[in-house]
Amino acid sequence: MRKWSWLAIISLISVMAICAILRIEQTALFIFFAAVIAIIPFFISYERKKPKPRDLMPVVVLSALAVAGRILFAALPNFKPMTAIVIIAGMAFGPESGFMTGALSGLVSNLFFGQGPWTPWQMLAWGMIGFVAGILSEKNILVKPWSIFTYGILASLSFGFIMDTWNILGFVQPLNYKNIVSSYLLGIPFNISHAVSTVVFLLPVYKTWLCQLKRIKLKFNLK
Amino acid sequence: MHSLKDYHPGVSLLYFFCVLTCSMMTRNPIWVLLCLIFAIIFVIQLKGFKHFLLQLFYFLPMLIFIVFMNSYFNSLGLTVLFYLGRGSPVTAENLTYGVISGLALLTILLWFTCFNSLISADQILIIMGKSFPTIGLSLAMIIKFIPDTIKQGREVLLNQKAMLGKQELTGNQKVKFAARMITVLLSWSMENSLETADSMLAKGYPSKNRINYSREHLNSSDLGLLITMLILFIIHLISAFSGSIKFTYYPFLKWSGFATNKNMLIISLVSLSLILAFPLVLDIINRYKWQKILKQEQNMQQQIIDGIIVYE
Repeated sequence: MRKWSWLAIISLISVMAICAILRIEQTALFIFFAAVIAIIPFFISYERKKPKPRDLMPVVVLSALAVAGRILFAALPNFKPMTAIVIIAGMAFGPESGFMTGALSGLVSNLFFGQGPWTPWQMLAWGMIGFVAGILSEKNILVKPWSIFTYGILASLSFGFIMDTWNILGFVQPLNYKNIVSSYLLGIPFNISHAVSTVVFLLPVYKTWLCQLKRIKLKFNLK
Repeated sequence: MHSLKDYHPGVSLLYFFCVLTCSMMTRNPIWVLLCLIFAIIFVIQLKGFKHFLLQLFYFLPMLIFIVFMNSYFNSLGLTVLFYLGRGSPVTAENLTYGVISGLALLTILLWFTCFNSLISADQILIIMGKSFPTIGLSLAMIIKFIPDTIKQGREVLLNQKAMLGKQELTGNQKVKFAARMITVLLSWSMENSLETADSMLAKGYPSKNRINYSREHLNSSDLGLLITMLILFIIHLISAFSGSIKFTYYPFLKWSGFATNKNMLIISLVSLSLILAFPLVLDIINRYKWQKILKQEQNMQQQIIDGIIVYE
């Protein structure tokens, strides 16, 4: 099933590239619905596993914590613990659970902050952050602290990058390197705030949380 | 309360699908402005004028960003208006394109404002739960766990503080304190949720007879609305893309579909306005019907008082 998920992401990226290169007038429309459709394979593969209520719980609890954190820190612009929690979820419970934690906490937090054209992109971006964290930790890359922090910073920056892409591809035409670069540069302060928040939240808790989650996983025999 | 809320959520969803598609599929100024006007009317109807102004203020930076990105960095277009700093010339064409693109984005954001006030969380749960039952359930549980987590977090904080007594914490200790608090919270909510999961299993969780918080049935009037909207949408798509919508910005503004396809143009504009005005018309009709019922009721009351009708 993991193959289908990768296929969904690759086809989304290729739709975006084709729309940008051919300067299609309906770019905003196509890539918006492509993003919505790209989430579906992940959902179907999760649904196919027919998880028991116990196996749902890690995703539910971590998403609830992430959303609660986003609500508590809502006053500070782009300062949110979501990314840190999603990364830990992916590392502790595997790529699929990581994706679900990211995507569902994105959807639920927007019930509080308002849905918008950004919802599918946020779901995808946070989902992929958890997914990739899961895959990297399966391959034993995310073991040392510095690698986890580097991943946290890269993930937060690429989250902002994904968020800006829809605006730029859909509403700025014709694209040249000047307006692409300057659009992304304008978003940099927000992305840095996001990256700082991720590291600030990862720093004190990642070790204890990973240890604790692994213990719970073993104790209750979660998948 | 808008009368669109009385119908099945599928009706509102299809409406938003249609209007979002219409607002995003073209940069023809007439189309964009028509969508914008109806979006503004709908927002004002749902949330009031004050809220609309607030939204406008909130979305303004986005609009300026789009206009700037479109006109500052490209030199397309023939009618040069002025030079902005050391950038390429600002032409009437790229300025128009920028403004129209910005307004298109504004329209989409306004539609989502309507979406948020019209479709409630439990309706989203129903929609998700129909096609993805496990994910719908997870969503419901997440929504339930958020206030629980916050409440328990307060309790943990109080307990941890009580253990400290009067001791003042330094900077480093504060971080450690917060980390310990969050860790306690995590283990509490994990174990608590696993107990919930076990009791769910004991009560027969994967049962097929699950019900939703609010029950929605697709009745004949919903179906009628859905079919009407779908037909209008298809008519609009066909007539618009048969050529009437075509508008080019560069090298100069030209609406090539205007002269060649008059009939199609009229059909597509009328069908678009009908789609956009859908909730407005629905609301007016339902209000009218309600007024009529009230009037009849008053009439009858009067007749009872006058003794024309003997009512026991």
